[in-house]
Amino acid sequence: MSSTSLSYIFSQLLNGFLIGLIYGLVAVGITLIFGVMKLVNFAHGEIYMIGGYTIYYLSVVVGIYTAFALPGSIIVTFLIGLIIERILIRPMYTKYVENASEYAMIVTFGLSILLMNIVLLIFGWRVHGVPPFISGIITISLLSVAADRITAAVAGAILLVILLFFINKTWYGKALRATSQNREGAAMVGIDTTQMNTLAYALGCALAGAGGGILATIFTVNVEMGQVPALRSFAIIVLGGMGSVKGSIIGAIILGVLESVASILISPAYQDVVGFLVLIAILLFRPQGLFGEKVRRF
Amino acid sequence: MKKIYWLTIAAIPALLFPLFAGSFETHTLIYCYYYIVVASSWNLVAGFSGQLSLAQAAFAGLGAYSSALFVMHTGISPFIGILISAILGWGISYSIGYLCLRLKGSYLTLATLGFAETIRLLITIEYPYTGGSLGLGFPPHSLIEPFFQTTSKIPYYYFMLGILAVSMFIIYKVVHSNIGLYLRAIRDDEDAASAMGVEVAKWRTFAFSVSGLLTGLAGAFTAHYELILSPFTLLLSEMSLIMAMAVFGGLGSFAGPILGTFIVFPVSEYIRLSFGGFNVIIFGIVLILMMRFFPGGIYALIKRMISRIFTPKTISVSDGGSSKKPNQIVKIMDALKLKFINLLGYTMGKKGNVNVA
Repeated sequence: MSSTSLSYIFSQLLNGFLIGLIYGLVAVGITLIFGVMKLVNFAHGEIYMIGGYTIYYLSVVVGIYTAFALPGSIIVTFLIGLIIERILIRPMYTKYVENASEYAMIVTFGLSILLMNIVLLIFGWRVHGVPPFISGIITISLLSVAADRITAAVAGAILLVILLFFINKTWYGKALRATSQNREGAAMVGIDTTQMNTLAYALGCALAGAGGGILATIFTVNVEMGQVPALRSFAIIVLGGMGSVKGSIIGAIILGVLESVASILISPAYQDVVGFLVLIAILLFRPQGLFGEKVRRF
Repeated sequence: MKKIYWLTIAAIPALLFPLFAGSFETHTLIYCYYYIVVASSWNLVAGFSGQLSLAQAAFAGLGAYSSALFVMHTGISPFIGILISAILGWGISYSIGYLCLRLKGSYLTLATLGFAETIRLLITIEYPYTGGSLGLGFPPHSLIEPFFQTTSKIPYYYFMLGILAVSMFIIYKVVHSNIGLYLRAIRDDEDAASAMGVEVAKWRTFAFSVSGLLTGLAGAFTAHYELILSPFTLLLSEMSLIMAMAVFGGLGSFAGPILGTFIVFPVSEYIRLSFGGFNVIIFGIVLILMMRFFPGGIYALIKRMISRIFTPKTISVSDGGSSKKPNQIVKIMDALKLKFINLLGYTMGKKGNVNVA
């Protein structure tokens, strides 16, 4: 094998790893929401897209340096998550005892269709680009990777570390984990579980927005940009184990690398099929995922 | 006897309709029937067994593509093509259901979403066979089938009416039998149903595979009716249309999706034809508002209105006035008791289910 194809393979694998790291952010968002509320947030891809459009608006239209525009998309999506939870999702949990999460999932599905079409009305089908944090190509002997990917992955890693610190060390993070482990128990020791719902949903949305903002600097910004990351994240949370934060980060990296392997071995067009195949394989052989608790079977 | 009476009232206009209507109205009604079948079979899964499936549009599209490809490449009769598609829909939904429905949780929703998008992707990528995003047009069928060659819409109308009658008969029988009771028990409380001896995985998989079968059947018919297939029918917005119909009419009721389709589909077509693609926004709004404010849908509203009108006033006043408050209190007390027992169970009985999040 010649050195050029070898370096191609290595840089593809590194790319898969770096992008997997950022998808980890998006998937952790879904995991947080699922863990606390037992709700799969189908509007996640659209929140991701709103994060992308916010960074586009701030960096291209307003003209702020991209790295400083990133907090903008995090804040905007956090606020949107807050509003959605307060207006649409909380009533579902107070109004119905049975099937609340199924009803709420239908609401988030409707929300995803609605948000997508509202953004389509405002911005149209045009595809936009966002300037990267740093442009150029970094070459280290055999490896050559675009600098924007490295910087994006670094930004993703920093956000992940902050998130893990928040979840593991602060009072609110501990309360979130307690609520996701045992809702009644958490309520008994004085945790406001309704507040935790809001926090989990808004935080999950902010993570999706962060992922969208970071990946907008690598890929393009358009209306459908959120669909593939959302699908991938759904596969990731099953792979990592529903509700496990560690599982979704590791699952995201595994899936990222697997997808680049598939794009080398078969064809880049089939890259997006990998997620579904992984999902089916996990359901067949290890339904609880890599790090999840054992799933109740009937 | 009463049922037969209602059925005749519904059947006579349905049978006579194409004799009086133009071809556009017939076309619209054919699609109404198609969506009734699809929305009702989605309702069988989502409304009755309490599992959210996002692959109904994908099953319909898969049925259409598979029947079209079978007929194109082998020259078999379209009737057999439609049957093969129905069986294919059953097989695929059975296998997905078998994988996901034995587990507690939202696995079916995630797997069906992945399946739907994967099917759309495969059809777009494999353009040499499927026509890709340009769509697949295929010639009118071999000479064996005079029925499928006519340009008149009337034979198609009666064929679709037949599919509708068969599908609704099957769904009615499922819903109004013991299986329907099992499904509702599972929807309301899986663990309790399982403890009472209901085979949760078996009946949920049954409901899901019946819905796949009927959707595949209806989808395959549209292929031979339209003679052109587009991958856009596999988009999630199509799924949202199906969901909007069932949810607007009323989740978990037999008549709900029928009512919902007759209201939502014409309105959506009107908006699409006069304003361009904004109909999709309506589906999103319908889904959110109905789930938020009227989860029983139009059907429950009408039912409540009728019972309010036809209940004798004296009885309702004396009955409701005296028993309403104690009833409410008893309900709350029961709920509290249940909560308390749950709490006891959590603190004493179970060993810790540790979740890592």
